[in-house]
Amino acid sequence: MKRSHWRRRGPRLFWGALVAAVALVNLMPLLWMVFSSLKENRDLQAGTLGFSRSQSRVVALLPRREGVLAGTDNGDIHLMRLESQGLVVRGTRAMGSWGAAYSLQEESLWVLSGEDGILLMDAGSLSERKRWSIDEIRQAFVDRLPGGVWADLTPGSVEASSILSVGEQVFATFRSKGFPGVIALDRKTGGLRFLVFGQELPFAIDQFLDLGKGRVAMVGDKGVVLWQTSNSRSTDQFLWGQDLPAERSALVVALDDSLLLCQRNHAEVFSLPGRKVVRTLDTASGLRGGKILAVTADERRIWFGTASGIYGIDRRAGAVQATQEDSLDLLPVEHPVGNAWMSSGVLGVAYSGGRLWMGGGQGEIAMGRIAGPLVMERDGRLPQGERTIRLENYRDLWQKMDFGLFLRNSLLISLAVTFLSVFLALFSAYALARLRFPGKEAFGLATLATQAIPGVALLIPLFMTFLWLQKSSRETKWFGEAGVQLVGTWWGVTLLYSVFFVPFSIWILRAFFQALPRDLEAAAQLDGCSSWGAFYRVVLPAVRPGILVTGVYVFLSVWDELLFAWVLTAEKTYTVPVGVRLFAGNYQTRFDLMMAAATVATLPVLAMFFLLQRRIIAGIAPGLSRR
Amino acid sequence: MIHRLWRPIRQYRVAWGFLLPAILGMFLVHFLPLVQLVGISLLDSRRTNLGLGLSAPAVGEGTGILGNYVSILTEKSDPFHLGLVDAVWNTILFTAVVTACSFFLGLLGALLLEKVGRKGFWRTLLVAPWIVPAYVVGLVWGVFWQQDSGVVNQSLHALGFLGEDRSLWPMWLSGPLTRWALILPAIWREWPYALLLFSLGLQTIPRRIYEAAKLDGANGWVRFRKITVPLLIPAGSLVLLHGVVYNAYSFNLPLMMFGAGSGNGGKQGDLLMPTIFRNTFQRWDFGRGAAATVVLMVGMLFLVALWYRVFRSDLEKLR
Repeated sequence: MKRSHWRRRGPRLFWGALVAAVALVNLMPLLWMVFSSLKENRDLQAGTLGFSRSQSRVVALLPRREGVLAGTDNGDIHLMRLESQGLVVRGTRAMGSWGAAYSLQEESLWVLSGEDGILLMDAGSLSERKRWSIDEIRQAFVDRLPGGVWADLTPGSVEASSILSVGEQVFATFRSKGFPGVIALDRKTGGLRFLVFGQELPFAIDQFLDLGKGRVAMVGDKGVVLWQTSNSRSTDQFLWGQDLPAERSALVVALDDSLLLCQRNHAEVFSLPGRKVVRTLDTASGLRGGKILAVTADERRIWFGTASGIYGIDRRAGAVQATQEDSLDLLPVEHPVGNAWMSSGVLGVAYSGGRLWMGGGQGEIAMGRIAGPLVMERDGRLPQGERTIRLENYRDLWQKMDFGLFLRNSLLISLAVTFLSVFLALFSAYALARLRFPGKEAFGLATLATQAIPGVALLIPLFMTFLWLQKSSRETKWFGEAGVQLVGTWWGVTLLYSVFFVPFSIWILRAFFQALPRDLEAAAQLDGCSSWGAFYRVVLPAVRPGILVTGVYVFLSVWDELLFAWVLTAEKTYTVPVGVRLFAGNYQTRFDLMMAAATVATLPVLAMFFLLQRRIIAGIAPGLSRR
Repeated sequence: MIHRLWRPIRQYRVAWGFLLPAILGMFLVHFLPLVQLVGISLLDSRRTNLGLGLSAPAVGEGTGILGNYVSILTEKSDPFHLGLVDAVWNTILFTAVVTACSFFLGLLGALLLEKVGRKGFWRTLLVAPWIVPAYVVGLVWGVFWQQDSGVVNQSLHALGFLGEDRSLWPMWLSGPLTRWALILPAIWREWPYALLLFSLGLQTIPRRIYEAAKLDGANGWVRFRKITVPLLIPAGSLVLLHGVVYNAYSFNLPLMMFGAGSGNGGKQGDLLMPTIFRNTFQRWDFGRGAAATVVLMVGMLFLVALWYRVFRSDLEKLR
C-alpha cells in the first residue's frame, strides 16, 4: 500500500519541487531588486550579499578647536570631540547625499551636494543656516549662459566635486559632463557668479586649493588656474602636458608657493613662480607604503597616508632649495596606524595646530600629536547605521530626485493614452470582426503590419514634422506666439501614443468581438435597435472584459516607452523611464535610489498583473506582440 | 464614375463610419511618416541644416541620390558605417540566441507545468519577469553586472569561482562579455512569454488524443513528437515572430544598461536601435539615420515575409 502510494505521489512531488525551484530562480532578480532598494548605498557599493553592514569611509576631515568634523562617503557628517576616553561622537547629521564636498571656515561649514546644492551649516551644532538649492543655482545662470549648459541641471543629475571657502568668497563646482567652470558665492550678499576659464579651452575644475594671501589654485582637467580673490581675476594658467607633467594627478596639495602633485606612488613638487617641476619624490627618495591615498602638510613635514599606514617626510626635502638626499627625514610613528587598525588604509589626513588627524576606510578616526615623532593620542570609530532595512531610500527618491513629477507624468500619459487608444480602436475592431466591407483582409493585414515597424522609423519623420508644425504655426500666429508645441509637452506625446497604439489595440479587441455569439446584433435589431444601437447597447457591454485586457496591455506598453518619450518630452514632462535614464546616466553612484526607482516602476504593473492575470493571459494569444 | 466610387461607400457606410477614426489616425501616424522616412533618407539633412527640417537639400552630387545608403553601407571612413556593421552582427547574434533560448526554455517550462497541480498559480509566478518593464530590466541588471559590487560577481565569489582580487573579476559591461550581459536578461524577460504561449497551446490539445494514442501503444516520446509538436506549431510560430521582432528592435534594455544612459555597449554590445538612435538624435544626422532605419525595416520585412510563407498554413488554424 505504501509503495503504491509513493509511486503515485512521488513523481508529482518531484515535478512540483522542480517547478518551485525554477520559479524561485526566475524570481530571484526581482527579489534582489526589492532587497537592494532597501539597503544603504554604501552596502550596495561594497557589494555585501547578506545583511552584514559595511562601515562608512571617511572622505573629509575638518579639524576644529577641540575635535574634528568627519564627512563620510554616504553623506553623513559627524562631529567628534576629544575627550579623555578617546574620540567621542557628539553630533551626527545625515545628509543622505552621496559624495558631498565640504569646506570649513571658522564656525561655518560649507557643504556641496549634487542633490541639495550649496548648504551653509553651523559647525558646532550641525544645523542648517542657509541653502542655495540646485534649482536656485540653475535659475541664477540658465538665462545667462549660451548653449543650454545648465538645462540638464536637475537635483541628482550632477555630483558634488569640490567646495572651498576663502575670505569672503566660496567657490564650488560640480562634476558633470560639460560643466565648464566654477560657481563663486559672495558670503556677504549671497549672490552667485559664474567663472569660466579659457574660451577655447574650458576648464572643468574639480579641486580648489587655498594658497594663502587670497590666492586660490583651481585644479581641473586641462590644468591649473591661479585665482586672485581680491580682484577676482585669474593671474596665471598652467596646462597638463605643457608646464605641468603630462599625467594628470588626482591628488594635489599646496605647499606655500609650490604644488605637490601626487601620482600613484610618486609625487612631484611644482614651483608656481618657477613654472616647472623642481623635485620628484619616489621610492628612491623615501616614499613607501604603496599608493598614496591622502596627503597633507604641516609647517615642517609632508604627511602621506597609504594603504599600509602614515608617514611624514621632511618638508625641506620637497622644497625648492633642498637637493640633499640625506635631508629626507622619515619620521618614526610610535603607535603604528596601519595594517593593524586602519585595515583599508589611511584615506584622509588633516593637520591643524600641532595635531594630525587620520581617517580610514572603516570609519576609523585617529589623532596624533607631533612633538618630534608622531605620537598617537586618541582614536575612535564612527557609528554604523543601526538599521539594515532602509525605507528612507523611497523618501529620498521624492526628495532628492524629481521622481514624484516623473511618476505623475507617466501615470497621466499612460492613463490618457489607454483610454483614448482603446476608445479609438473599439469601433474599428468591431467593424473588422463583425461587419462585411470591401478591403477587410487588407485592413486587417495593414493593422498587423504596423507592429513590425520599428519605433524610430516613425519617430524621425514625426519629430521633424512636429518641429515644422511649431515653426510654421509660429509664423502664422494662429495658435498664439508660441505656436503648436508638440515637442516637450505632455499632450504631444499623448496624442501620438494614442494613435500609435490603435492597431495593436484593434488586434487584441478583434478577437474578443469575434468570440461573441454570431447573432447577437441580429437579435438586438429584431428588438428595434439601429445598428449603432445594437453596438452600443448590446455588443459593448458584452465585450467589457476585452476592453479591460486591451487597456492593460496598452498601459503596460506606454509605461515601458522610452524612445518617443526621450525625444518628445522635456524637463517638466519627463516620464519615469526618461527621468530614471538621466539619473542613471549622470549619477551612477546612487545604486540605492536607482533600485528604489526600479521597484516603484515595477510593483504597480506587477500588482496589476497578479490581480488580473487570468484575464490578461486569456487575451494574449490574439495579441501578436506587446508592442 | 462618381457613382461607382460612391456606391461601396454608401452601401457599407456603417462599416466605414466605424473604421474612420482608426484609418485617419493610422494614415497620419503610421503611413505618412513611412513615406516621409523614405524621403528623408534621400536628404542631406544633418546638424548644420537642422533648421531646414524636411526642406533640406537632397544628397549632393557625386554620390548619387542614394548617397546616404552608399555611405552607411560601404564608406569605410563614415563612423556611422563602422558602428552599424558591428551593431548588425551583434543584433543578429542577440536576436537569434535570445529567441532560440526563450523558445526552448518556454517549451520545457510549459511541458513541466503540465506535470503539476495548481497550474495557474505557478504560471503566474513564472510569467512575472515578462511584466517587468524592459527599461527596469536594463537598469537593474546594469547594477547586477557591476564588476566589483555587482551581485553576479559577488555570488560567483561567494561560491568560490572567483578569487579575492576584485580587479581580476570578469568585466560584464565592457569587452566581449557585454554580449552575454545583454543576452541573459533578455532571455529572462522573453522566455515567460514563450512559456505562456506554449502553455495556452497545450491547453487546446484535447486529452483524448493522447489517450487514444496510448491505447495504440505509442510511448511518451512518440506521443510528444507526433501529437504535441505538430499541434504546438501555431503557438511556436507566434513565439518566433514575437522573439525576432521584439528583440531585433530592442532599445530600452541596452540603453539603460550601458554607457551611462547612452546605450553604447561598445564593439561587442551595441545593438541596431541604440546605434541608429544615437546617430540620429544625438549627432542629429537625420538623413543617414533614416537610411539605416529603412535598411533595418527592409530586413525585417524580409524576415516577416519568410515567416509568413513558412507558417501560413498553420496560422489558418488559429483563425
